[in-house]
Amino acid sequence: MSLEAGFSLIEALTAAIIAVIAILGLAYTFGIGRGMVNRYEVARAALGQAQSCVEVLSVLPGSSDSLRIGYSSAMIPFQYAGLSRGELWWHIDPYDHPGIPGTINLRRATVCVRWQTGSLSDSVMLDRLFSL
Amino acid sequence: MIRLPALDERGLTLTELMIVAMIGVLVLLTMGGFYLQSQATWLDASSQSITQREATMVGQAIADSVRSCNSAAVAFTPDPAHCQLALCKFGSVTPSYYFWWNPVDSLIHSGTDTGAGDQGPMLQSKVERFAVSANRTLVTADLSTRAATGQTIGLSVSAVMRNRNP
Repeated sequence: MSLEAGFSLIEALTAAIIAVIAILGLAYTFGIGRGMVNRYEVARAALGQAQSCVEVLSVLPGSSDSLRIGYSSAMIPFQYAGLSRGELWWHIDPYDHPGIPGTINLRRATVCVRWQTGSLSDSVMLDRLFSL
Repeated sequence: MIRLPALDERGLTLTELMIVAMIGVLVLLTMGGFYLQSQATWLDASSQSITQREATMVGQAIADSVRSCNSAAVAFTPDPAHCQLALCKFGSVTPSYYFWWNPVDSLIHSGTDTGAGDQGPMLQSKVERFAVSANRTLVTADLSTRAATGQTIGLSVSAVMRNRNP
C-alpha cells in the first residue's frame, strides 16, 4: 500500500523549484545569446571600418606624414546606424622583422576601433606592415 | 492479486479536480509562453546573425573583386542609393564584372554582365541601400540590409584597386 501513496507536497515543490531553476538558466542563455548577436553586429561594422582604414593607408605614399614612425592619428568618430559609437585611430610603430637583417626594417600600422555597447567597452585592432 | 479497499476507489471530488486542472492550465500557459518567447528570441537572433554574415560576405566579395581590377565605374541605377558597380581588368576598358541592386527582388546581384551573365542574388536578405563611390584608386560600398525579422544591418567596405595602370 505504501508504494501507491504517490509523492508528498515537499517532493512536488522540490521538483518544481528545480524545474524553475532549469528554465531560468535556459532563459538566461537565450538572453545572453541575443545580446551577443547585437554586440557582434557593431563589431562587424567596426572591423569593416578598420579594414577600410588599412586599405586607405596602403595607398598613401611612403613619405606621407600619416605613415611616419611614431605618428598617432587624431580620433575619428566611428559611426554605425547613424549613431556615434566610438572612435577610430591609428598609430605607426617601428617594426623589427626577425627574418630581415637590421633592427628597424618595417613600419607597423595599427588601426584601432573602440566603441561602447551599453556598459560594455569593445575594440577591434588590425595591424599591417609597410616598407620603410 | 491485491484488492484495494473501497475507500481508496472513491476518486477525486469536483473541487480537487478543478484545482488540479487550474494548476495544470497555469503550468501549461507558463511553459507555452516561455516556449513561444524563446522561439521568437531565437528566430530574431538567428535571422539577424544570418543577415550580418550575408552582408559581411557581400562586402568581402566586392573587396576581393575590386582589389583584382584596374578601374571601376559607378552608375546610379536606378538611383543614388542603389548603384551599379562595373569593374574592369588591367588592360581592358570593357567591364568584366558587375555588382548591382536588382529592383525586382531588392537583392544584390553579380555577374559578368547585368543580363545573361547574371549569376543571381548574392544574398537572401533584402537590401535597402547599396551606395557605391569610386575614384581612381579606391572603391567604397555602403550596404544596408534588412533581416527577415525587421532589423537593419549596415556595413561599409573600402578596397583599393591593386591592378591599376602604372
